[in-house]
Amino acid sequence: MTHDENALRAALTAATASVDPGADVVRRARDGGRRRLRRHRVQVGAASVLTAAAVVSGVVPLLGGGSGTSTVAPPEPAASVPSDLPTGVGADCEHQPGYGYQITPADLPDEVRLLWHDERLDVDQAWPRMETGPCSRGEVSVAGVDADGVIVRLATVTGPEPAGIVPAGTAPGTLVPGPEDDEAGRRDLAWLLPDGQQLRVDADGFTDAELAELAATATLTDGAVDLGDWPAAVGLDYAGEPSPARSTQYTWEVSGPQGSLTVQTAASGSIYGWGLTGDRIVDFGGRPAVLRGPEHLVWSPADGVMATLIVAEGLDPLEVAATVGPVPADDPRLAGADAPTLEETGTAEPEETGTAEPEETATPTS
Amino acid sequence: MRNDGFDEFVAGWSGRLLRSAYLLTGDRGLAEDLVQDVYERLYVAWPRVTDPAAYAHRALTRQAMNRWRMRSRRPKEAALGTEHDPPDHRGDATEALHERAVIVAALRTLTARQRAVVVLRFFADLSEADTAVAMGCSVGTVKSQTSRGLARLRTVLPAIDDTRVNSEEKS
Repeated sequence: MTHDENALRAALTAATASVDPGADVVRRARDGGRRRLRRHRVQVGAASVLTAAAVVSGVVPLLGGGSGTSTVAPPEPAASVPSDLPTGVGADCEHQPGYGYQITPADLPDEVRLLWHDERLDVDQAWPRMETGPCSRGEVSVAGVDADGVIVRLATVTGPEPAGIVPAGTAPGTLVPGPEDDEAGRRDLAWLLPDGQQLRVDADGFTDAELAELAATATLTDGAVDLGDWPAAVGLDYAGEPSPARSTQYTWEVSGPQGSLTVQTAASGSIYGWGLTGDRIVDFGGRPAVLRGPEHLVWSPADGVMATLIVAEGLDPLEVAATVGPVPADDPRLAGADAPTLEETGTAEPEETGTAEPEETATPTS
Repeated sequence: MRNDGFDEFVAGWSGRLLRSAYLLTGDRGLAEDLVQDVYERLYVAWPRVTDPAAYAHRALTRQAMNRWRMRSRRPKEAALGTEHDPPDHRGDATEALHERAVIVAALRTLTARQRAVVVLRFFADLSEADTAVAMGCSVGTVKSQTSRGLARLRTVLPAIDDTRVNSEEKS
Protein backbone atom coordinates (compact mmCIF):
# COMPACT_ATOMS: atom_id res chain seq x y z
CA MET A 1 0.00 0.00 0.00
CA THR A 2 1.56 3.28 -1.09
CA HIS A 3 1.57 6.46 0.89
CA ASP A 4 -0.83 8.26 -1.40
CA GLU A 5 -3.27 5.35 -1.28
CA ASN A 6 -3.28 5.55 2.47
CA ALA A 7 -3.75 9.30 2.26
CA LEU A 8 -6.66 8.73 -0.09
CA ARG A 9 -8.25 6.27 2.33
CA ALA A 10 -7.96 8.81 5.10
CA ALA A 11 -9.33 11.61 2.95
CA LEU A 12 -12.35 9.57 1.86
CA THR A 13 -13.04 8.62 5.45
CA ALA A 14 -12.76 12.20 6.62
CA ALA A 15 -14.99 13.43 3.82
CA THR A 16 -17.84 11.23 5.03
CA ALA A 17 -17.27 11.51 8.76
CA SER A 18 -20.60 13.17 9.43
CA VAL A 19 -22.66 11.33 6.83
CA ASP A 20 -24.85 9.25 9.07
CA PRO A 21 -28.08 7.41 8.29
CA GLY A 22 -31.33 8.59 9.81
CA ALA A 23 -32.54 7.18 13.07
CA ASP A 24 -35.35 5.25 11.40
CA VAL A 25 -33.24 3.65 8.69
CA VAL A 26 -34.08 0.12 9.79
CA ARG A 27 -37.81 0.76 9.76
CA ARG A 28 -37.68 2.46 6.36
CA ALA A 29 -35.60 -0.35 4.90
CA ARG A 30 -37.93 -3.00 6.27
CA ASP A 31 -41.12 -1.19 5.27
CA GLY A 32 -39.81 -0.47 1.79
CA GLY A 33 -38.73 -4.09 1.40
CA ARG A 34 -42.13 -5.32 2.48
CA ARG A 35 -43.86 -3.03 0.01
CA ARG A 36 -41.68 -4.27 -2.81
CA LEU A 37 -42.19 -7.87 -1.80
CA ARG A 38 -45.93 -7.33 -1.57
CA ARG A 39 -46.01 -5.91 -5.08
CA HIS A 40 -44.04 -8.88 -6.24
CA ARG A 41 -46.53 -11.31 -4.76
CA VAL A 42 -49.92 -9.76 -5.18
CA GLN A 43 -50.03 -7.47 -8.15
CA VAL A 44 -53.62 -8.25 -8.96
CA GLY A 45 -54.75 -7.91 -5.38
CA ALA A 46 -53.07 -4.54 -5.12
CA ALA A 47 -54.93 -3.35 -8.17
CA SER A 48 -58.32 -4.17 -6.73
CA VAL A 49 -57.49 -2.52 -3.41
CA LEU A 50 -56.36 0.65 -5.10
CA THR A 51 -59.43 0.66 -7.27
CA ALA A 52 -61.63 0.54 -4.24
CA ALA A 53 -59.67 3.31 -2.57
CA ALA A 54 -59.97 5.52 -5.60
CA VAL A 55 -63.68 4.90 -5.91
CA VAL A 56 -64.16 5.85 -2.27
CA SER A 57 -62.31 9.11 -2.85
CA GLY A 58 -64.52 9.90 -5.84
CA VAL A 59 -61.76 9.91 -8.40
CA VAL A 60 -62.91 9.60 -11.97
CA PRO A 61 -60.83 7.49 -14.32
CA LEU A 62 -59.74 9.09 -17.55
CA LEU A 63 -60.85 6.05 -19.47
CA GLY A 64 -63.25 3.28 -18.74
CA GLY A 65 -66.30 3.00 -16.56
CA GLY A 66 -66.66 5.82 -13.99
CA SER A 67 -69.66 8.05 -14.14
CA GLY A 68 -68.79 10.75 -11.62
CA THR A 69 -67.96 14.30 -12.52
CA SER A 70 -65.43 15.26 -9.89
CA THR A 71 -62.60 15.94 -12.28
CA VAL A 72 -60.15 18.27 -10.61
CA ALA A 73 -58.99 21.29 -12.55
CA PRO A 74 -55.37 22.19 -11.85
CA PRO A 75 -53.97 25.64 -12.45
CA GLU A 76 -52.77 26.38 -15.94
CA PRO A 77 -49.92 24.03 -16.76
CA ALA A 78 -46.58 25.66 -16.20
CA ALA A 79 -45.89 25.25 -19.89
CA SER A 80 -46.80 28.92 -20.09
CA VAL A 81 -43.86 29.68 -17.83
CA PRO A 82 -40.83 30.72 -19.85
CA SER A 83 -38.68 27.65 -20.31
CA ASP A 84 -35.07 28.58 -19.87
CA LEU A 85 -33.32 25.35 -19.10
CA PRO A 86 -29.57 25.72 -19.24
CA THR A 87 -27.25 23.62 -21.32
CA GLY A 88 -27.77 19.92 -21.57
CA VAL A 89 -31.20 19.82 -23.17
CA GLY A 90 -32.27 19.49 -26.76
CA ALA A 91 -30.54 18.90 -30.03
CA ASP A 92 -27.27 20.37 -28.82
CA CYS A 93 -27.19 18.16 -25.74
CA GLU A 94 -23.64 17.25 -24.78
CA HIS A 95 -22.41 14.48 -22.52
CA GLN A 96 -21.48 15.58 -19.03
CA PRO A 97 -19.87 13.65 -16.20
CA GLY A 98 -22.44 12.00 -13.97
CA TYR A 99 -22.54 13.65 -10.58
CA GLY A 100 -24.64 15.73 -8.23
CA TYR A 101 -24.41 19.44 -7.48
CA GLN A 102 -25.57 21.68 -4.68
CA ILE A 103 -27.59 24.64 -5.94
CA THR A 104 -29.97 27.24 -4.54
CA PRO A 105 -33.68 27.66 -5.27
CA ALA A 106 -32.87 30.64 -7.48
CA ASP A 107 -30.80 28.36 -9.72
CA LEU A 108 -33.83 26.23 -10.56
CA PRO A 109 -35.78 26.72 -13.79
CA ASP A 110 -39.10 28.43 -13.05
CA GLU A 111 -41.12 25.43 -14.21
CA VAL A 112 -39.39 23.24 -11.63
CA ARG A 113 -39.57 25.60 -8.64
CA LEU A 114 -43.20 24.83 -7.76
CA LEU A 115 -45.07 24.78 -4.47
CA TRP A 116 -48.56 24.16 -3.21
CA HIS A 117 -50.66 27.25 -2.56
CA ASP A 118 -52.70 25.65 0.18
CA GLU A 119 -52.63 27.02 3.71
CA ARG A 120 -53.24 23.59 5.16
CA LEU A 121 -49.75 22.48 4.21
CA ASP A 122 -46.59 23.82 5.82
CA VAL A 123 -43.08 23.83 4.39
CA ASP A 124 -40.29 22.62 6.65
CA GLN A 125 -37.69 21.70 4.09
CA ALA A 126 -36.87 22.91 0.61
CA TRP A 127 -34.11 21.23 -1.31
CA PRO A 128 -32.95 22.10 -4.84
CA ARG A 129 -30.54 19.76 -6.59
CA MET A 130 -28.92 19.39 -9.95
CA GLU A 131 -27.41 16.28 -11.47
CA THR A 132 -25.54 15.83 -14.71
CA GLY A 133 -24.82 12.77 -16.78
CA PRO A 134 -24.32 11.48 -20.28
CA CYS A 135 -26.73 12.78 -22.85
CA SER A 136 -29.86 10.70 -22.60
CA ARG A 137 -32.15 10.43 -25.56
CA GLY A 138 -34.97 9.63 -23.27
CA GLU A 139 -37.56 6.94 -23.24
CA VAL A 140 -41.07 6.10 -24.32
CA SER A 141 -43.66 4.76 -21.91
CA VAL A 142 -46.93 3.03 -22.67
CA ALA A 143 -49.71 1.78 -20.44
CA GLY A 144 -52.80 -0.37 -20.59
CA VAL A 145 -55.63 0.05 -18.11
CA ASP A 146 -58.71 -1.90 -17.12
CA ALA A 147 -62.27 -0.57 -17.17
CA ASP A 148 -61.67 1.33 -13.93
CA GLY A 149 -58.54 3.06 -15.14
CA VAL A 150 -56.23 0.83 -13.13
CA ILE A 151 -52.92 0.15 -14.82
CA VAL A 152 -52.59 -3.52 -15.71
CA ARG A 153 -49.75 -3.30 -18.21
CA LEU A 154 -46.78 -0.97 -18.36
CA ALA A 155 -43.71 -0.76 -20.55
CA THR A 156 -40.91 1.76 -20.78
CA VAL A 157 -38.44 1.51 -23.63
CA THR A 158 -35.11 3.26 -23.16
CA GLY A 159 -32.28 3.92 -25.55
CA PRO A 160 -30.59 3.85 -27.87
CA GLU A 161 -27.42 3.18 -25.98
CA PRO A 162 -24.20 1.29 -26.60
CA ALA A 163 -24.66 -2.44 -26.24
CA GLY A 164 -23.96 -3.39 -22.65
CA ILE A 165 -26.29 -6.27 -21.94
CA VAL A 166 -26.64 -7.93 -25.29
CA PRO A 167 -23.49 -9.84 -26.27
CA ALA A 168 -21.74 -8.81 -29.43
CA GLY A 169 -22.80 -10.86 -32.41
CA THR A 170 -26.34 -11.41 -31.18
CA ALA A 171 -28.90 -11.13 -33.94
CA PRO A 172 -30.88 -7.87 -33.95
CA GLY A 173 -34.22 -8.19 -32.19
CA THR A 174 -33.15 -11.10 -30.01
CA LEU A 175 -34.32 -10.46 -26.46
CA VAL A 176 -31.68 -10.85 -23.75
CA PRO A 177 -32.57 -10.69 -20.03
CA GLY A 178 -31.10 -7.77 -18.15
CA PRO A 179 -29.80 -7.89 -14.59
CA GLU A 180 -33.19 -6.95 -13.14
CA ASP A 181 -35.28 -9.36 -15.14
CA ASP A 182 -38.12 -10.91 -13.14
CA GLU A 183 -37.38 -8.68 -10.16
CA ALA A 184 -40.61 -7.63 -8.47
CA GLY A 185 -42.49 -9.30 -11.29
CA ARG A 186 -41.13 -6.97 -13.97
CA ARG A 187 -39.30 -7.90 -17.14
CA ASP A 188 -35.96 -6.29 -17.94
CA LEU A 189 -34.99 -7.16 -21.50
CA ALA A 190 -32.60 -5.74 -24.06
CA TRP A 191 -32.03 -6.23 -27.75
CA LEU A 192 -29.93 -4.84 -30.56
CA LEU A 193 -31.03 -2.70 -33.45
CA PRO A 194 -29.59 -3.44 -36.88
CA ASP A 195 -27.00 -0.69 -36.36
CA GLY A 196 -25.69 -2.37 -33.20
CA GLN A 197 -27.19 0.04 -30.71
CA GLN A 198 -29.16 -1.37 -27.81
CA LEU A 199 -32.74 -0.78 -26.72
CA ARG A 200 -34.08 -1.92 -23.38
CA VAL A 201 -37.55 -2.41 -22.00
CA ASP A 202 -38.84 -2.44 -18.44
CA ALA A 203 -42.18 -4.19 -18.82
CA ASP A 204 -44.93 -5.48 -16.62
CA GLY A 205 -47.93 -7.48 -17.76
CA PHE A 206 -46.85 -8.49 -21.26
CA THR A 207 -46.42 -11.91 -22.77
CA ASP A 208 -43.12 -13.06 -24.24
CA ALA A 209 -44.71 -12.96 -27.68
CA GLU A 210 -45.80 -9.35 -27.24
CA LEU A 211 -42.33 -8.32 -26.12
CA ALA A 212 -40.77 -10.17 -29.03
CA GLU A 213 -43.08 -8.24 -31.31
CA LEU A 214 -41.96 -5.02 -29.64
CA ALA A 215 -38.33 -5.86 -30.36
CA ALA A 216 -39.22 -6.58 -33.97
CA THR A 217 -41.19 -3.36 -34.37
CA ALA A 218 -39.26 -0.66 -32.50
CA THR A 219 -37.07 1.59 -34.61
CA LEU A 220 -35.40 4.97 -34.30
CA THR A 221 -36.83 8.16 -35.71
CA ASP A 222 -34.47 11.14 -35.57
CA GLY A 223 -32.46 9.23 -32.99
CA ALA A 224 -35.40 8.63 -30.65
CA VAL A 225 -37.29 5.42 -29.97
CA ASP A 226 -40.28 4.90 -32.24
CA LEU A 227 -42.61 2.07 -31.25
CA GLY A 228 -44.52 2.22 -34.50
CA ASP A 229 -47.89 0.51 -34.33
CA TRP A 230 -46.94 -1.81 -31.49
CA PRO A 231 -48.98 0.01 -28.79
CA ALA A 232 -52.12 -0.23 -30.90
CA ALA A 233 -51.41 -3.78 -31.95
CA VAL A 234 -51.31 -4.97 -28.35
CA GLY A 235 -54.27 -2.86 -27.31
CA LEU A 236 -52.63 -0.25 -25.11
CA ASP A 237 -54.64 2.79 -24.08
CA TYR A 238 -51.82 5.27 -23.55
CA ALA A 239 -48.59 5.92 -25.40
CA GLY A 240 -46.18 8.69 -24.53
CA GLU A 241 -43.91 10.67 -26.77
CA PRO A 242 -40.12 10.71 -26.59
CA SER A 243 -38.71 13.87 -25.07
CA PRO A 244 -35.64 15.86 -26.12
CA ALA A 245 -32.22 14.54 -25.24
CA ARG A 246 -31.03 15.70 -21.85
CA SER A 247 -27.86 15.61 -19.78
CA THR A 248 -28.90 17.89 -16.91
CA GLN A 249 -31.58 17.08 -14.40
CA TYR A 250 -33.00 19.45 -11.81
CA THR A 251 -34.80 18.18 -8.75
CA TRP A 252 -36.78 20.24 -6.27
CA GLU A 253 -38.09 18.71 -3.08
CA VAL A 254 -40.27 20.50 -0.55
CA SER A 255 -41.81 18.79 2.42
CA GLY A 256 -43.65 19.42 5.63
CA PRO A 257 -45.75 17.52 8.14
CA GLN A 258 -48.73 17.37 5.81
CA GLY A 259 -47.05 16.44 2.56
CA SER A 260 -44.10 16.41 0.22
CA LEU A 261 -43.67 17.56 -3.35
CA THR A 262 -40.89 16.47 -5.70
CA VAL A 263 -40.52 18.17 -9.06
CA GLN A 264 -37.87 17.23 -11.55
CA THR A 265 -36.93 17.58 -15.15
CA ALA A 266 -37.16 14.18 -16.74
CA ALA A 267 -36.08 12.35 -19.82
CA SER A 268 -39.43 10.67 -19.92
CA GLY A 269 -41.93 12.23 -22.26
CA SER A 270 -44.87 10.74 -20.41
CA ILE A 271 -45.97 9.90 -16.92
CA TYR A 272 -46.60 6.20 -17.49
CA GLY A 273 -43.02 5.27 -16.80
CA TRP A 274 -43.57 6.65 -13.32
CA GLY A 275 -46.37 4.26 -12.56
CA LEU A 276 -46.69 0.74 -11.32
CA THR A 277 -49.28 -1.84 -12.18
CA GLY A 278 -52.09 -1.30 -9.73
CA ASP A 279 -51.78 2.48 -9.96
CA ARG A 280 -54.66 4.34 -11.50
CA ILE A 281 -54.67 6.81 -14.37
CA VAL A 282 -56.99 9.71 -13.65
CA ASP A 283 -58.00 12.92 -15.33
CA PHE A 284 -56.18 15.93 -13.92
CA GLY A 285 -57.39 19.02 -15.70
CA GLY A 286 -57.74 17.18 -18.98
CA ARG A 287 -54.32 15.56 -18.75
CA PRO A 288 -53.54 12.07 -17.45
CA ALA A 289 -52.05 11.65 -14.00
CA VAL A 290 -51.00 8.59 -12.03
CA LEU A 291 -52.69 8.03 -8.68
CA ARG A 292 -51.17 5.52 -6.26
CA GLY A 293 -53.37 4.74 -3.31
CA PRO A 294 -55.23 7.61 -1.71
CA GLU A 295 -52.22 9.86 -1.11
CA HIS A 296 -49.74 9.71 -4.00
CA LEU A 297 -50.12 11.57 -7.31
CA VAL A 298 -47.76 11.94 -10.26
CA TRP A 299 -48.44 14.40 -13.05
CA SER A 300 -46.64 16.52 -15.60
CA PRO A 301 -47.03 20.22 -14.84
CA ALA A 302 -45.03 21.17 -17.95
CA ASP A 303 -43.40 19.43 -20.87
CA GLY A 304 -40.38 17.51 -19.64
CA VAL A 305 -41.23 18.13 -15.98
CA MET A 306 -42.65 15.56 -13.56
CA ALA A 307 -44.22 16.28 -10.19
CA THR A 308 -44.89 13.79 -7.41
CA LEU A 309 -47.09 14.78 -4.50
CA ILE A 310 -47.62 12.72 -1.36
CA VAL A 311 -50.07 14.01 1.22
CA ALA A 312 -50.91 12.98 4.73
CA GLU A 313 -54.04 11.06 5.57
CA GLY A 314 -57.13 13.20 5.31
CA LEU A 315 -55.88 15.32 2.41
CA ASP A 316 -56.83 14.73 -1.21
CA PRO A 317 -53.73 14.75 -3.44
CA LEU A 318 -55.75 15.89 -6.45
CA GLU A 319 -57.15 18.81 -4.50
CA VAL A 320 -53.73 19.85 -3.23
CA ALA A 321 -52.10 19.31 -6.61
CA ALA A 322 -54.61 21.67 -8.15
CA THR A 323 -53.03 24.45 -6.10
CA VAL A 324 -49.45 23.66 -7.11
CA GLY A 325 -47.84 26.38 -9.17
CA PRO A 326 -44.68 28.43 -9.62
CA VAL A 327 -43.19 30.05 -6.53
CA PRO A 328 -40.57 32.80 -6.36
CA ALA A 329 -37.19 31.81 -4.98
CA ASP A 330 -37.58 34.44 -2.27
CA ASP A 331 -41.02 33.29 -1.14
CA PRO A 332 -41.22 33.60 2.67
CA ARG A 333 -42.21 29.96 3.01
CA LEU A 334 -39.01 28.91 1.31
CA ALA A 335 -36.92 31.40 3.21
CA GLY A 336 -38.12 29.84 6.44
CA ALA A 337 -37.44 26.29 5.33
CA ASP A 338 -34.34 24.32 6.12
CA ALA A 339 -32.04 23.35 3.32
CA PRO A 340 -31.04 19.90 4.46
CA THR A 341 -27.70 19.79 2.75
CA LEU A 342 -24.41 18.65 4.10
CA GLU A 343 -22.50 21.55 2.66
CA GLU A 344 -24.34 24.50 4.11
CA THR A 345 -22.54 26.94 1.88
CA GLY A 346 -25.60 27.85 -0.17
CA THR A 347 -23.59 27.97 -3.36
CA ALA A 348 -23.02 25.67 -6.24
CA GLU A 349 -20.10 23.34 -5.99
CA PRO A 350 -17.14 23.82 -8.31
CA GLU A 351 -17.78 23.20 -11.95
CA GLU A 352 -16.58 20.13 -13.71
CA THR A 353 -12.97 19.98 -14.69
CA GLY A 354 -12.83 16.44 -16.01
CA THR A 355 -13.44 15.14 -19.47
CA ALA A 356 -17.04 14.38 -20.16
CA GLU A 357 -17.50 10.69 -20.71
CA PRO A 358 -20.68 8.65 -21.02
CA GLU A 359 -21.51 6.39 -18.14
CA GLU A 360 -20.72 2.82 -18.91
CA THR A 361 -23.34 0.15 -18.52
CA ALA A 362 -22.53 -2.35 -15.84
CA THR A 363 -23.71 -5.87 -16.39
CA PRO A 364 -23.34 -7.68 -13.09
CA THR A 365 -25.82 -10.30 -12.10
CA SER A 366 -27.71 -10.20 -8.86
CA MET B 1 -38.72 -16.25 9.73
CA ARG B 2 -38.17 -15.17 6.13
CA ASN B 3 -36.10 -12.11 6.86
CA ASP B 4 -34.33 -13.01 10.07
CA GLY B 5 -31.19 -10.93 10.38
CA PHE B 6 -32.26 -8.25 7.90
CA ASP B 7 -32.77 -5.57 10.54
CA GLU B 8 -29.43 -6.34 12.11
CA PHE B 9 -27.70 -6.12 8.76
CA VAL B 10 -29.26 -2.73 8.00
CA ALA B 11 -28.39 -1.40 11.44
CA GLY B 12 -24.81 -2.57 11.13
CA TRP B 13 -24.09 -1.52 7.55
CA SER B 14 -26.16 1.62 7.00
CA GLY B 15 -23.37 4.02 7.81
CA ARG B 16 -20.81 2.40 5.54
CA LEU B 17 -23.21 1.92 2.66
CA LEU B 18 -24.58 5.45 2.88
CA ARG B 19 -21.08 6.93 2.93
CA SER B 20 -20.05 4.82 -0.04
CA ALA B 21 -23.17 5.94 -1.87
CA TYR B 22 -22.40 9.55 -1.03
CA LEU B 23 -18.92 9.26 -2.48
CA LEU B 24 -20.28 7.50 -5.55
CA THR B 25 -22.92 10.15 -6.24
CA GLY B 26 -21.73 13.33 -4.56
CA ASP B 27 -25.25 14.02 -3.35
CA ARG B 28 -26.79 13.10 -0.03
CA GLY B 29 -30.30 12.73 -1.42
CA LEU B 30 -29.19 10.50 -4.26
CA ALA B 31 -27.17 8.46 -1.82
CA GLU B 32 -30.17 7.91 0.42
CA ASP B 33 -32.31 6.95 -2.55
CA LEU B 34 -29.72 4.46 -3.73
CA VAL B 35 -29.24 2.84 -0.34
CA GLN B 36 -32.98 2.60 0.26
CA ASP B 37 -33.40 0.96 -3.12
CA VAL B 38 -30.63 -1.50 -2.30
CA TYR B 39 -32.30 -2.40 0.98
CA GLU B 40 -35.61 -3.06 -0.75
CA ARG B 41 -33.95 -5.31 -3.31
CA LEU B 42 -32.06 -7.06 -0.56
CA TYR B 43 -35.23 -7.61 1.44
CA VAL B 44 -36.89 -9.37 -1.47
CA ALA B 45 -33.80 -11.46 -2.21
CA TRP B 46 -32.87 -12.07 1.43
CA PRO B 47 -33.66 -15.83 1.66
CA ARG B 48 -31.33 -16.64 -1.24
CA VAL B 49 -28.56 -14.18 -0.43
CA THR B 50 -25.56 -15.79 1.22
CA ASP B 51 -23.40 -12.67 1.55
CA PRO B 52 -25.60 -9.61 2.16
CA ALA B 53 -22.68 -7.19 2.21
CA ALA B 54 -21.43 -8.38 -1.16
CA TYR B 55 -24.94 -8.22 -2.56
CA ALA B 56 -25.40 -4.70 -1.21
CA HIS B 57 -22.12 -3.45 -2.64
CA ARG B 58 -22.89 -5.02 -5.98
CA ALA B 59 -26.38 -3.53 -6.13
CA LEU B 60 -25.19 -0.16 -4.87
CA THR B 61 -22.39 0.06 -7.41
CA ARG B 62 -24.59 -1.05 -10.26
CA GLN B 63 -27.32 1.40 -9.36
CA ALA B 64 -24.86 4.26 -8.90
CA MET B 65 -23.27 3.63 -12.28
CA ASN B 66 -26.59 3.24 -14.06
CA ARG B 67 -28.70 5.73 -12.19
CA TRP B 68 -28.67 8.30 -14.93
CA ARG B 69 -30.28 5.89 -17.34
CA MET B 70 -32.66 4.45 -14.80
CA ARG B 71 -33.49 7.43 -12.67
CA SER B 72 -36.80 8.32 -14.23
CA ARG B 73 -38.42 4.97 -14.72
CA ARG B 74 -38.20 3.24 -11.38
CA PRO B 75 -40.84 4.79 -9.16
CA LYS B 76 -39.48 5.53 -5.74
CA GLU B 77 -41.20 4.58 -2.55
CA ALA B 78 -40.89 8.08 -1.20
CA ALA B 79 -41.85 8.74 2.38
CA LEU B 80 -42.93 11.80 4.24
CA GLY B 81 -40.40 13.54 6.42
CA THR B 82 -37.22 12.47 4.70
CA GLU B 83 -34.42 12.39 7.21
CA HIS B 84 -31.26 14.29 6.52
CA ASP B 85 -28.05 14.85 8.31
CA PRO B 86 -28.16 16.91 11.45
CA PRO B 87 -25.86 19.94 11.44
CA ASP B 88 -22.24 19.13 12.08
CA HIS B 89 -21.45 20.68 15.45
CA ARG B 90 -17.87 19.51 15.71
CA GLY B 91 -15.34 22.15 16.52
CA ASP B 92 -13.59 21.66 13.21
CA ALA B 93 -16.81 21.39 11.22
CA THR B 94 -15.91 24.18 8.84
CA GLU B 95 -12.65 22.57 7.91
CA ALA B 96 -14.36 19.21 7.60
CA LEU B 97 -16.87 20.70 5.19
CA HIS B 98 -14.03 22.14 3.13
CA GLU B 99 -12.28 18.78 3.04
CA ARG B 100 -15.46 17.12 1.92
CA ALA B 101 -16.01 19.65 -0.84
CA VAL B 102 -12.47 19.11 -2.08
CA ILE B 103 -12.87 15.34 -2.15
CA VAL B 104 -16.28 15.46 -3.80
CA ALA B 105 -15.00 17.84 -6.45
CA ALA B 106 -12.04 15.55 -7.11
CA LEU B 107 -14.21 12.46 -7.40
CA ARG B 108 -16.43 14.31 -9.83
CA THR B 109 -13.59 14.46 -12.32
CA LEU B 110 -13.44 10.66 -12.55
CA THR B 111 -15.47 8.48 -14.84
CA ALA B 112 -18.16 6.38 -13.23
CA ARG B 113 -16.01 3.26 -13.29
CA GLN B 114 -12.95 5.02 -11.98
CA ARG B 115 -15.00 6.51 -9.18
CA ALA B 116 -16.47 3.13 -8.36
CA VAL B 117 -13.09 1.42 -8.05
CA VAL B 118 -11.71 4.24 -5.94
CA VAL B 119 -14.65 4.13 -3.55
CA LEU B 120 -14.85 0.35 -3.37
CA ARG B 121 -11.10 -0.20 -3.03
CA PHE B 122 -10.10 2.71 -0.84
CA PHE B 123 -13.24 3.46 1.16
CA ALA B 124 -15.22 0.23 1.34
CA ASP B 125 -11.94 -1.71 1.60
CA LEU B 126 -12.96 -4.37 -0.88
CA SER B 127 -10.29 -6.54 -2.44
CA GLU B 128 -9.63 -6.30 -6.16
CA ALA B 129 -11.55 -9.53 -6.64
CA ASP B 130 -14.54 -8.35 -4.63
CA THR B 131 -14.46 -5.01 -6.41
CA ALA B 132 -14.56 -6.83 -9.73
CA VAL B 133 -17.59 -8.81 -8.60
CA ALA B 134 -19.33 -5.67 -7.38
CA MET B 135 -18.72 -3.89 -10.67
CA GLY B 136 -19.37 -6.88 -12.88
CA CYS B 137 -16.00 -6.69 -14.57
CA SER B 138 -12.66 -8.47 -14.57
CA VAL B 139 -9.89 -8.01 -12.02
CA GLY B 140 -7.79 -6.68 -14.85
CA THR B 141 -10.34 -3.94 -15.47
CA VAL B 142 -10.29 -3.09 -11.77
CA LYS B 143 -6.50 -2.78 -11.90
CA SER B 144 -6.53 -0.58 -14.98
CA GLN B 145 -9.38 1.60 -13.73
CA THR B 146 -7.66 1.95 -10.36
CA SER B 147 -4.46 3.03 -12.00
CA ARG B 148 -6.21 5.60 -14.16
CA GLY B 149 -8.37 6.84 -11.32
CA LEU B 150 -5.43 7.35 -8.99
CA ALA B 151 -3.46 9.05 -11.71
CA ARG B 152 -6.33 11.41 -12.30
CA LEU B 153 -6.78 12.10 -8.61
CA ARG B 154 -3.12 12.95 -8.22
CA THR B 155 -3.53 15.68 -10.82
CA VAL B 156 -6.69 17.20 -9.36
CA LEU B 157 -5.92 16.51 -5.73
CA PRO B 158 -2.27 17.43 -5.36
CA ALA B 159 -2.67 17.71 -1.64
CA ILE B 160 -3.59 14.07 -1.37
CA ASP B 161 -0.36 13.38 0.49
CA ASP B 162 -0.97 16.26 2.80
CA THR B 163 -4.70 15.97 3.39
CA ARG B 164 -5.01 16.59 7.04
CA VAL B 165 -7.09 14.00 8.78
CA ASN B 166 -7.19 13.84 12.49
CA SER B 167 -7.75 10.65 14.34
CA GLU B 168 -11.20 11.65 15.54
CA GLU B 169 -12.49 11.98 12.00
CA LYS B 170 -11.13 8.57 11.14
CA SER B 171 -13.01 6.89 13.93
